[in-house]
Amino acid sequence: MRRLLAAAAILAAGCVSVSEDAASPGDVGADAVVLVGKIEIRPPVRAEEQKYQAGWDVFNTKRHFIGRAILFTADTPQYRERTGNALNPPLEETFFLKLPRSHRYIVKGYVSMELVSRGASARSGFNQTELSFPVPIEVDVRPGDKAIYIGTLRLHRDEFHEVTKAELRDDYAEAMAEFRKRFAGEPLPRRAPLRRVVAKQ
Amino acid sequence: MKFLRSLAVLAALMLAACGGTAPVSSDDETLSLVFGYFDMKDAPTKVQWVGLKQYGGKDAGTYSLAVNDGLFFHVGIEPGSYQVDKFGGSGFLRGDYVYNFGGKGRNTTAIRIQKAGVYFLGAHRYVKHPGEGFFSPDKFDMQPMKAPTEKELLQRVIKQMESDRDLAPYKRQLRLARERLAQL
Repeated sequence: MRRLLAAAAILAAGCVSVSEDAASPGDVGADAVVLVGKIEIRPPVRAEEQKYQAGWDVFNTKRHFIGRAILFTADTPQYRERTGNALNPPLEETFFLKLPRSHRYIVKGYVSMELVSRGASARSGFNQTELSFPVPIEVDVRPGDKAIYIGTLRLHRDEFHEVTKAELRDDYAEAMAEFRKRFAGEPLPRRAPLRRVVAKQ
Repeated sequence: MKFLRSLAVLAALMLAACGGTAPVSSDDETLSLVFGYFDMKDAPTKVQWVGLKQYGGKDAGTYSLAVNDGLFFHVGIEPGSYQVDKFGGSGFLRGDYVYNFGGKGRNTTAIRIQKAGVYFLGAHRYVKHPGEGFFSPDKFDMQPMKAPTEKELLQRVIKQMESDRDLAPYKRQLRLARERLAQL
């Protein structure tokens, strides 16, 4: 039970709202926007590279970690281990997620490579390895936006899961073909490429 | 105490095949000597073992290195990419502790072994994050230190290899260590 609670705590502590997918316009209220984009990891993360073992997983928490990234968002750019809102995009495919308008910053982003409980004791803790994204990243949400296209974030990694290079690509046409299928009749998203926030000296 | 030290060295040698039970072959010329040092003066516990994890291969696992007064080394590391992933120890009041060090990308112990030789992981000091409490062992930094130097630590490694019966078969590693020492 302790292990279960500990695993759930990774995302659920402090009541984290997790956006896994925005399936239709009705999923997104006036206080949020649809975020369209893609995250690619090079070389791609293979299924056998990710380990998840956190005991009895009654809420299927595992689905948030395998083949997906976890992006914690906030209204200020300061780094935080977790916030009350997380985006949970699938890797290597166009995603459609719900982002609260006020959350202009991704303050922590990662792909979980290993999350394995060391034992039944609450003090045992987890073996945890993360492929950490360069943060903070600003999402350019403007008044009137209903949906924005943030681009394809391609992260290159080394064998230690260290990001060695980050690129932002514009795959707008491809993403819009998918957007039209899902959100037929809706205005197309505005291009709003992600921006790395540079700390002021 | 000496008996315990020998047992620890023996255990490390037995564990050398990435968690297996086969002892390190003294004939295998692809194996490297890897060493490093952790100063845990400000940590909740001392360090008793260090996990050197292999990255980039097929789940190659982790070498477990015994620690003697902060110094840890292993005579049978195969070619590959490695860094210290976890280490641990126990204290009478605090119980068993596992310290996560390699959880977020590359750390300052990362090495790539392409050719058999002697590899230094560096000397590091445990630095507690301010404001962390009794129950937060994972909030720390391992800060690289200038002293003890690679030379001083390698001298300790050589001394231990020369005096420990269990390490006597590893003459090639001892020779490599002496050659490296001569360069420092």
